[in-house]
Amino acid sequence: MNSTTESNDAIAAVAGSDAPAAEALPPVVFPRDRRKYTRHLSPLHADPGLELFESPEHEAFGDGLIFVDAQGNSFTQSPPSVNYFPNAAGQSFSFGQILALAGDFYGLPSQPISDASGDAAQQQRFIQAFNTLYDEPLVFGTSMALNILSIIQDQSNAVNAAVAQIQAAQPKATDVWSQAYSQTNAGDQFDQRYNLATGASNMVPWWASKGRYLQLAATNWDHFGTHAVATYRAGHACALQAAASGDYQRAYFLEAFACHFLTDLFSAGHLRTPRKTLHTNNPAADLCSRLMHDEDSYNGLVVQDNSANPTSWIAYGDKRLNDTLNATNFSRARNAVQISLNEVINALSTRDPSPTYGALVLTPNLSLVANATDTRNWSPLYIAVNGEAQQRVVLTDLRCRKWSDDFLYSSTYWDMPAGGIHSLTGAPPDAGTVPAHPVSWQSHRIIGSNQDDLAPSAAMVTNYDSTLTNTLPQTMLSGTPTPGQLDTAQQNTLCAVFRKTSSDSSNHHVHFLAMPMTDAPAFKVYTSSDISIGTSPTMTTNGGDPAIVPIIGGLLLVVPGNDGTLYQANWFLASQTWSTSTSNGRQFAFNATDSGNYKLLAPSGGDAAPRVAMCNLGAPACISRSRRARCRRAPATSCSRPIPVRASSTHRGRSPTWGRTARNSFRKRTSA
Amino acid sequence: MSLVEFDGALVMAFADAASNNQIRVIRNSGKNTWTLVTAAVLDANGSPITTHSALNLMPYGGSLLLVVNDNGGNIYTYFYDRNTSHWVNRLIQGTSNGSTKAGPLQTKYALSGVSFQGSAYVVFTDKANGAPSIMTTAAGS
Repeated sequence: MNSTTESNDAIAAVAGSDAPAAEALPPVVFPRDRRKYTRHLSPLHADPGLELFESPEHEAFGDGLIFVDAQGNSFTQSPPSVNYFPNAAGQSFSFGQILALAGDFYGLPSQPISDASGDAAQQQRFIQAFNTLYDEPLVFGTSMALNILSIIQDQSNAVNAAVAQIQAAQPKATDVWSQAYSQTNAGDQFDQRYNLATGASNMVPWWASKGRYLQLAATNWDHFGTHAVATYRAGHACALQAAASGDYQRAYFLEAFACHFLTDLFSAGHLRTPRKTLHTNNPAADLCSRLMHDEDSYNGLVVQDNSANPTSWIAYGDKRLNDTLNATNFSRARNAVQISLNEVINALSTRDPSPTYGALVLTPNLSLVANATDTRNWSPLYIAVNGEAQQRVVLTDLRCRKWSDDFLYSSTYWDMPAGGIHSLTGAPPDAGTVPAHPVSWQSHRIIGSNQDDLAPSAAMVTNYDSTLTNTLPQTMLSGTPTPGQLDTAQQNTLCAVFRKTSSDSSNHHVHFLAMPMTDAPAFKVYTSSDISIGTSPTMTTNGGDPAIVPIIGGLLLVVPGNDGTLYQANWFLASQTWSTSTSNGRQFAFNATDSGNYKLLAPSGGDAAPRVAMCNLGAPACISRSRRARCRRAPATSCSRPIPVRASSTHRGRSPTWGRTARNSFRKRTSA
Repeated sequence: MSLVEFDGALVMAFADAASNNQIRVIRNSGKNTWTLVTAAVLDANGSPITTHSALNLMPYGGSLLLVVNDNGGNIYTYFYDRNTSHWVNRLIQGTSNGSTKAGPLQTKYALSGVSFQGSAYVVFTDKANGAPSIMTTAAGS
């Protein structure tokens, strides 16, 4: 069993100081091309942490709860006045408001509660964190908390409006709330406001100055997995002690603060993300923890409670609390909060402070959900093995269940879409039946002429840094790529070949376009070139559509010629030229080497040559060091079932470079 | 026809000339034998769709997308539902040439797609203007 469970003892991560909103150097942030994000993906947050149930979601847990006062009378929080619980300075809050403020806005960033050793020490830290809210005074009738709650209300209003619009446009969408939260915070505007409201200066970029909101987020493993359990237990014990002493309002205040961490245990993104393991001295690691958090939150996890006769259900996470698919999970979370609250009520009645934790029976079993090989759930992006993070080998393949410690956090952050990989169904593998929302497409023309450019074939070619050396033939590879660069837009080119037919349909030329991905997604109008292999333009027939596949630093083209023969040619990105390995300029497909590396899946020959399709069986592991490409090379060993693949002699020479020099030079531990 | 590696196997979709160009999907998981995944991809009414071999498979969102230009000139996205072994279809709606008004995207010819950083890019000849174009799921700036 691969386990993502992490314990305090095994992790060396430590929190920093609680220095108030120091104008710290900005974190190492890796600029990304925001244009590439599909609209349903979560927005980029250019800073570590920020893995939270959205604040309005947390606040919603307070609705409908039943309380009992000192006289034994039950009551609920009923509008318009719901703020029944005063802090020491006289500010009154609702249970849900306290729950929303706890941990995310109030606490001590340098002292994660779960890091303390033993129950007493954890309870002491909980009280210290709790006091940052409980002791906060009103100053001229206002406070930090009131400002934050005002922003939460604004966010709630914006999300509700967006939900109405999305539901009208996509009545069958199942991820409406997730879309709404993402859209309304697409510019990080609410995060900026929360940061400012908690002490940050108004700077550009906004995260350069860290309010307590960002400071807490950077060390927020109290909200994750076993750490959340420990934190809730500490807080709930404190609430029971206050109740047993008869201070029911402080008891409820404490309980609300504790229940923040209880409700986090119903958010999928908080269950198996090895958050503390992913807090290193590399800020990119924190960013990657957010990727996993967002991915699991969106895709959901099949979970099972801790009862003797356990029940299974699907838990979704942040931004999806109110999605219909999450109704069962939301209901169970509210029941857990009420059970926890009932224990406080019981302590008020009995004056018995003995800790009981009935709510934890209802929470997902963390050991089970940490089983990374459980095929009921998508493959986790990270697992923790002996306190070290291992990363999914193929980042973009939710079914890939191989993990490796040979990766770069910064490279991962480049490679992954913001929000992680969202499954099309927005559900665990066996739970989804339809796409969560319509796939939205945009179309942009890339050729100026209006006709006769037909049937394109496309392939993505990866460029190389020519300043570095490699052991491969220079004709095949002009340099060794720098890890982390290969999957950037700057290093990739979208190539297309197509058949250009004369106005009288008497001839059909093969044309070619190379479009840098820096032009994506809108691209522009390009001028295509006539492919000339040898001295004459390459001609095909009506219906003789060309096909291309990526090879190392270029393309392999197969096209049915106008003489009834299949031809092949190579194009190299570095030289921007077409060539073949023969002197006569044109070559019958395939030569001995390529026939072993590629499969041509179409009949050949004939004037009415059908469209060809090819599969590159041997490559392109050497094209890119990315995990994505590596899986292509050896799907049998990297992902799941075996496929017999023949290694290319051309490709073999590459391994030593990456196996030694590059790997040692760029291991994640040394990157910053 | 279209061939991709997905989920540790080679998956191929093709228009079967022996069955009136209905779309078959097969996979090879490593024993040099191809097994049938889908005998015929069906439309929303349960009828087999046919194409003049204009189809493309690509990984997207942890699943496979089958983009098809059917014989009516319409482009459809099919998503493979592993539970029912059915391909769920959606007529591709999109905007052409920067238009803000979404409509069906159509073509008469073959199309070809790739995945890049979580987004799909399909190169095709847009019937709206006859020009090679790229339709993509990546959001515009």
